[in-house]
Amino acid sequence: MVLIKYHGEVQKYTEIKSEELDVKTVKELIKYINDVHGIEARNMTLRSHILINNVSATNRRGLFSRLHEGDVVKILPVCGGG
Amino acid sequence: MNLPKYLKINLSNKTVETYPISEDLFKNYLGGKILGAKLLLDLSKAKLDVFSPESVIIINTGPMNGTGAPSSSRFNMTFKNVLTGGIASSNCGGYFGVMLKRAGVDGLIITGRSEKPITLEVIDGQVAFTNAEDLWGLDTEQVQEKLPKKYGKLVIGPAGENLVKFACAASGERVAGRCGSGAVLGAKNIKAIVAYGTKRPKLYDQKGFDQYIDEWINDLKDHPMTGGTFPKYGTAGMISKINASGVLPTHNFKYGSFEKVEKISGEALAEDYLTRNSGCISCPIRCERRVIVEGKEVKGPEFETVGLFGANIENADLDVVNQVNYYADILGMDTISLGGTLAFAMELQEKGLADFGLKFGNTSDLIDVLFKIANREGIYSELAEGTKILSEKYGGKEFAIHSKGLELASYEPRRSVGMGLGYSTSNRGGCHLNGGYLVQAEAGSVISIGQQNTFGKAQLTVFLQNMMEAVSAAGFCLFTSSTSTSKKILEAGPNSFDAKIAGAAMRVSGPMLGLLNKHTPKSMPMNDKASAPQAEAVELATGMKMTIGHFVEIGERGFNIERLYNLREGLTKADDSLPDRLTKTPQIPDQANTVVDLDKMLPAYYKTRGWDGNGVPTTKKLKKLGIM
Repeated sequence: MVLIKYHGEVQKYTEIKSEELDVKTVKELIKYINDVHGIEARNMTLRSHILINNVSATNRRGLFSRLHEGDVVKILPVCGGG
Repeated sequence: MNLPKYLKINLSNKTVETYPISEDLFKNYLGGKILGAKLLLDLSKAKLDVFSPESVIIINTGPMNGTGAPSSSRFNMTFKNVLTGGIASSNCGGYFGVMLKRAGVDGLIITGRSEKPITLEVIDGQVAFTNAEDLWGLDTEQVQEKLPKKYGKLVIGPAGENLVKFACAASGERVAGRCGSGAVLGAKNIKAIVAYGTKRPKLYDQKGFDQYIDEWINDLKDHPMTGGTFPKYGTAGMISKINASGVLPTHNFKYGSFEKVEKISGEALAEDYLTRNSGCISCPIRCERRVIVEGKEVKGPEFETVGLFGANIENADLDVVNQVNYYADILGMDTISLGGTLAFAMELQEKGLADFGLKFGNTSDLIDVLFKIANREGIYSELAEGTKILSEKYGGKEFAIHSKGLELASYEPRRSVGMGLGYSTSNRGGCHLNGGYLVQAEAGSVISIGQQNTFGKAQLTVFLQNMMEAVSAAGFCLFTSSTSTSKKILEAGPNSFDAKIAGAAMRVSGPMLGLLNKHTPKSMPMNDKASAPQAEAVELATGMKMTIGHFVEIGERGFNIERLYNLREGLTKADDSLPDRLTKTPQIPDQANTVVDLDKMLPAYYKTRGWDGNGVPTTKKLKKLGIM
């Protein structure tokens, strides 16, 4: 199972903070979010940083990044700093 | 053209005179940090002791302060940098800048030293010197409570009085944090400066300006960053992503990620501690966090403070970060330099080089240590000198994390090499903002230009440094530039095709930016509300022709003036440096490119700037900028 943690705006649409899922790729996770939590949750997830075990999916294979048993996926808002 | 009104104040003999700002000076140097640097260079003698009575402090606004333009409440302090000996500019939000403008004054040029502690009052354009012996010893919160509520205030705490080298000055709960602004006020026996008035600035095209500003505010509110994540998460919202990119300094910048990051993340701050958000006057972004410390609602920590008092000292308790943030503010100390110095002291201890009773991960006595530093008690007085001086006494220069003497902000540059170049070339020392803030595009945002590649980073850094100089000098908060990342790309997300294309385009844009920079203002003869909304606002307010090209050129002039000041004060190419830990020791041991390769990037940077191989502006460059 993969632990999914929803942070920020996306939580408003999923209405849960986390859940455990049996998903093999980020793309499969996005499809699950669309089917179960709705298109707004899906869109917000796509706008977010997706971290797999604290490494950005953009530094792996993006939406095609593979997920494994025990992985932790965090979905975070894109923020600015300074 | 309405020219700014500056007052020259001599504290030694308590005289005040008007200091004329010519139209040329205004057009070429605008205000804030750029005009401040020009005045400091012209009015102060070379190589003065930073605390000498003859030293000069300039406190000024930009043309946008008090106009109602978005996020335009910021004022600037310019002085000889207590930590580096070069230029210092320290910028602050809050009410003081707006009230100074409403008092009919755009800038104060302060010299001399008062015999006794004073409050400097600037009310409706008139200056009074009032005895402040009863305020001496109070913290920044207490002293502001004693002063009339309606005044804009700028005050120091015990750290400023005791000349702690990273003492800051506070305005409300905002601080002019960096470079020792509190110490230079303390050395002149200024406990507080207050301002009040009811004047409104006269604008060149009020109707056009109002219409432009209304549209701009709507754009800011509608943008996913300035209208979305900034108000919701503030700057601390970046912690998790920066950690994931290996850029969150941990264990005195030995590592770039913290295993307990979840406990100190922006999400944890928002979900477990945030009471509400707030903001400066005239700001629609409202990035300020409010948290509870000891039963009282106070300003929450920014990204920098969470990073440096979290991961960098291996503390996973946000309660401690919130407390440190509050106590550092009321004692009047910059949390960046303070946090950096404490982490360095912890590593000295770990290596057996010094004993300050400080250990990574142990925060039980931290607040007590803060009080001891602010009051310069015993051995803790040595910590009040900052990282560079500590390293000269105890050793450890290779892991003394500063540039030119100013401690680095909370971005580990080995995984954001353009930010490393920015830190090393920043005129005020190890500052991410004066350094161009390339880390946002390298490791923090929806667009990624790559973390380790050096191609084009010099040109991008120069362009961003110039642009940020101008934005700041006009009186704007730098966050008004956040809309330069398009809404479309932000909505498409970091894994989208759009973001990848934008990142790739920006990655190869360096040489083109270098050319554009070389031929300003002609190379950018337009205005663009999305990428640089500030320029047109300045034109409408002042009547000056202000394309993006003109705006960037003013920024470039400012950066060069600051550089000239540094060179005059004895800084050299050798000071454009970072400690060996960041330039020679790869963060990831088997990846040799996880260092900041300054040998490769600095020559390209100097060339782009039109400086010679020693980092000295060429005559040709200075003539082009009208500096000589």
